[in-house]
Amino acid sequence: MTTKTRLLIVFVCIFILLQMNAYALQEHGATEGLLVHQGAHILFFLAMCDFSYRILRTQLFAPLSRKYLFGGSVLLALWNLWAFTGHILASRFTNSPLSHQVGDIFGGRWHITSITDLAYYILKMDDLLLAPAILFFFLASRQIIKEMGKK
Amino acid sequence: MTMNLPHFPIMLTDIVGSLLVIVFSYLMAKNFLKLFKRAPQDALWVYLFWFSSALFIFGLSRSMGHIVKHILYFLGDEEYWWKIAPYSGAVNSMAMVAMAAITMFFRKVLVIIRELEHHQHKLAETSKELVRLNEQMNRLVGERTRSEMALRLAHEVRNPTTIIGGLLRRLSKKNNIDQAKLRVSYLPKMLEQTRKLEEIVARFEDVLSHQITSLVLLDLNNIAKNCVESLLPSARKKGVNLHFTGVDAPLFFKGNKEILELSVRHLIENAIEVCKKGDSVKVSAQPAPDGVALVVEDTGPGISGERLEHILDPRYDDGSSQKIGFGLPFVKQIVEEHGGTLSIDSQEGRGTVVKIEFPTYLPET
Repeated sequence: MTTKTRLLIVFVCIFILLQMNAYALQEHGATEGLLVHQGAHILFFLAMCDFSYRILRTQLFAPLSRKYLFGGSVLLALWNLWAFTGHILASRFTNSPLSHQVGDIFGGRWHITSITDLAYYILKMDDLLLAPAILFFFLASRQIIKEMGKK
Repeated sequence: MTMNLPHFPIMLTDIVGSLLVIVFSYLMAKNFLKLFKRAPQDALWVYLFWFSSALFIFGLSRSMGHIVKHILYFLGDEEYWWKIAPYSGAVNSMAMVAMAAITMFFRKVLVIIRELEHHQHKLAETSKELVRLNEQMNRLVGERTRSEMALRLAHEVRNPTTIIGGLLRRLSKKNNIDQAKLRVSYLPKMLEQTRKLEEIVARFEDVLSHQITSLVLLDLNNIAKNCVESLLPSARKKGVNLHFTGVDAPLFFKGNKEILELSVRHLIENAIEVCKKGDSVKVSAQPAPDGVALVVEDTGPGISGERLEHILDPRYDDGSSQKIGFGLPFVKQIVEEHGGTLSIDSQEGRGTVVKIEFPTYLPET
């Protein structure tokens, strides 16, 4: 019998024979979800910064494809900053500046009383950065296929 | 500071933006999938395929969440959204982490590609050097053989010619030639040396004829058919249609079976390699005006004009990553050593035709 097997048997015996309250299961509150999401934004932002830096230095793609990939990654990095800030502002509001009736999704109004309200209003339109970023990546893919065809 | 701003611009950018994100990320992933399928062994396309797939999953999870949210709000079922929201948010967070992880792998991919290129370059350089050395060795062996043969010929011919010359010089000095002595003494000696000269010539002829008899009688139909049959599995695996067309009569010529099969296989392998799924490679053996011919025809991407001009030059490097046809100079050399010819005709985007022709009988020189 190996040392590992002996240790395993000892641990199993301890857990079975010594009864006690189980505190192993960690509870996860709602805030944790937001923290994970914000962490993902930071990670995504760093990854896009690294990608855009390396795209600029590499000669793997033709200049136009490289420009599209660079544009897409920079916009995606900015979008992460944009969304990250938006989430921080959203978590500060106890009462939303938006008021609208149920079922009338286009007809609501925003009561802006401070710069923070205005910033939040603008930051809600994060698709203004995300959609062009994805468009740039699509254009890059199309350009790369074109260049491959030429080769 | 008090302002009343409409909610409409936010809704419009969110709905239109979300739809655009889904459409563009899908089209991008489809394009990169196409590149990946074309060369699944290429590290860059593998990476871009994973990158685009992760970006598509991220775009889809994020945008679908937003669209579903607006639909539920519109229908007045806001409470359902609050039930779905944690799951949608979790999927979105996971997609972002996956996207970040894949993106960060780009650094490693660049290192892999750089190393691959370096090894490919070294391999190309080594192959070029091998071709050069092979040519040099052939030249040296040829020169040495010629020198040895010339020396041997000179050595063996020296004695008989000296004797015949000596006898003729003595005869030329005499005013009256004694016919009896000439018949009994001079002529037999001269005939003896002449016979020796004839033997030497015959021996040299024998050596030359042995060089030619190392080539055996072959049927080009059989060689082409064997090569096509052995390459059918790899063609099927790539989705390339490989056909062989022969003729009923044997297409006899003289050659070295192993070397020629290797060369024909190389031509067909090259054609399969450049083709993509659905393309076809046609191999045909046929009689030619001056002998027999083998034609390898593919519907691949073809070769550009500049590359075509230099494709048979082992020292040429166009700087492209494509190393297709790299062994063509070797094949040409082998075909020419068999007294044959190799020609290539290609049109970009339409395919390539490689034709090799062998004489039915080897020339005597």
